[in-house]
Amino acid sequence: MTMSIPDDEIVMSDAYVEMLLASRARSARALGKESIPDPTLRAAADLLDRGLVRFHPSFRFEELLAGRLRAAAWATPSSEGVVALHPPLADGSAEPGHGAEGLRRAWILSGAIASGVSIAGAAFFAWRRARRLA
Amino acid sequence: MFWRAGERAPEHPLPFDADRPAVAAARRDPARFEPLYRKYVAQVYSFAVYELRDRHAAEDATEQVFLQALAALPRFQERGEGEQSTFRVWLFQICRRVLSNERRRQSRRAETTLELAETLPAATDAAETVADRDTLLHAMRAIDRLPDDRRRALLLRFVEEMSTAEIAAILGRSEGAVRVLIHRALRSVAAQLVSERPGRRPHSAA
Repeated sequence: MTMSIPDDEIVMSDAYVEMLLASRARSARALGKESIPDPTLRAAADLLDRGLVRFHPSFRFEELLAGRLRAAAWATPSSEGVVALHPPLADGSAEPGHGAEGLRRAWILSGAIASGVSIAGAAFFAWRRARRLA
Repeated sequence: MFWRAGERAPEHPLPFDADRPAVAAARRDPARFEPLYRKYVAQVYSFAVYELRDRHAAEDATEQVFLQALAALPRFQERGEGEQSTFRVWLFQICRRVLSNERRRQSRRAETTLELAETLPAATDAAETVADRDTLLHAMRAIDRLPDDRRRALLLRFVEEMSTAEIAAILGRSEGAVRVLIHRALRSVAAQLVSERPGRRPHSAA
């Protein structure tokens, strides 16, 4: 359609849509019907305001995509060189016992083993030295 | 606002974008993209359903949008142009490109139809529901036949409740042009409703 539309008409329909959208937030319907003179245009705007509702994705899809994004984020280099400690599984979920908490536990266990080995080594060395002197 | 030594403040202060802290966190660490995803997934998916009229195609498109956004996030910059350079606008610019390609691909395949019954809000009066359903079905057909920019402007305005400034930035038009697009789209829908039901005007709310 190339026919020109009077500016007033555009401004009025824009103001009416603005009022419709604002009234959603207020849950009120006290709109001036005289604000838009064409009743067919007003009726179309009213219908779309009531009928065009937002769709929501299924929970399953939303979680699946969240997992894929986590996996993709792990493979994406960050601007501060942050490195993920453990890659998520293919479905994006974290494996139990892994991740930051799992890694912390592994470090504590490794530290304890290393300390134990050092103490045992020192004790063995001291025992051999004492035997040699005796 | 504090500036480090040697750093210059932008000539025009950036408008407040509620997503700015989340965007900054996600740029530092991509693993922190999830809050942005959770906030916008329904908006992107909903727009995709209206555009593609198929839930599975909408899911595929939504996935593409967010994967592309995650990959391109380091390149996202607010440019200090009011509502026109927020994260939401940038995300919907990606969305528009993805959906344009998908619609082109779809037009070469058999036409799909949206289950319109699911789009209707719950109504208490059964007679009104049937009338609304019928009228809305005609309206949806009319919307689907609109030129791309008119249809998108109308959907972004009514479904996503975006301002004309945001829609203008997404569609790459001026605000005035967007107002004209929406007005013409409403005119087309109104004309279609009248022609589908000769002698009747579209059912209007009291």
